[in-house]
Amino acid sequence: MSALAAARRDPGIKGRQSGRPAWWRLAVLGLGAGFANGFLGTGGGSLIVPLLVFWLRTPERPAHGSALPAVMLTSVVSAVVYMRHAFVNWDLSLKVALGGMVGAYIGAKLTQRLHPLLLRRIFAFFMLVAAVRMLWGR
Amino acid sequence: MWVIVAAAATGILSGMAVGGGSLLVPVLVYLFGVPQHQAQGVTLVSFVPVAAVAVYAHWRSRNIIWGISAGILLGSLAGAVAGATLAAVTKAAVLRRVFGLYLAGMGLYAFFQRDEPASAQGQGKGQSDR
Repeated sequence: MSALAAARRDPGIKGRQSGRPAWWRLAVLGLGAGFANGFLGTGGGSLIVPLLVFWLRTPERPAHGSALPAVMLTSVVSAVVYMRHAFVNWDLSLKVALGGMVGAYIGAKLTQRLHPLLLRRIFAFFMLVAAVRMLWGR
Repeated sequence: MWVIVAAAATGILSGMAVGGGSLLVPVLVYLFGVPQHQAQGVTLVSFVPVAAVAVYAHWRSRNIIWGISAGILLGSLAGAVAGATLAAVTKAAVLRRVFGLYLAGMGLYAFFQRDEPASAQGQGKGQSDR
């Protein structure tokens, strides 16, 4: 939240229009995030949200909210390209989507009770373990 | 069937706005033996319905500034076509290492990030920020 406080204290050139960034900055951000989305099959939102918050000074809630519809449609486009190259297993996708929806619902409810910091540390640990394995494993 | 349980586990993280989607690919690759390209394709396809539910929830809570979404889309649609096409012609071993780099970056960021995500602590404060 300190970044937001700083944004209010020093609006600068970027912040002069009540938190809505210039369209070309958004498009540049989108170009990079979209490329990552297509190339890696993930990581639209997890890239866009911090960039919106720290670079374009968008408050966190609208940053999360506004990134989602963009990432969703971007994923559709990436998915179509994967489909045309036969990299989509529909049976598996159905199962993963089913589990994902149930999980996301539970997660949204749990958010109100659990402390996210500890959870994020544990999550980060698993990400780093997976990263090491992907970088140096076979 | 275990893949549904594993997807639910990463889904819980996504629902808590911790970003579980990026763990889904290594989970599919290492726990279920899915090839790298296919794991990425499955992650993309399965993300769409999950995101649709989240979009609805954010729309109901008036968290979406459509002008921002549209601005991002302006660049991201072109980026997605370029990225996905490049991925399709990239060898799985190379793709996996780039993914590993991305995971390392995101993992370090998640570990050292100090600000709370939009949830929990920010709940009350987030309202006043708008």
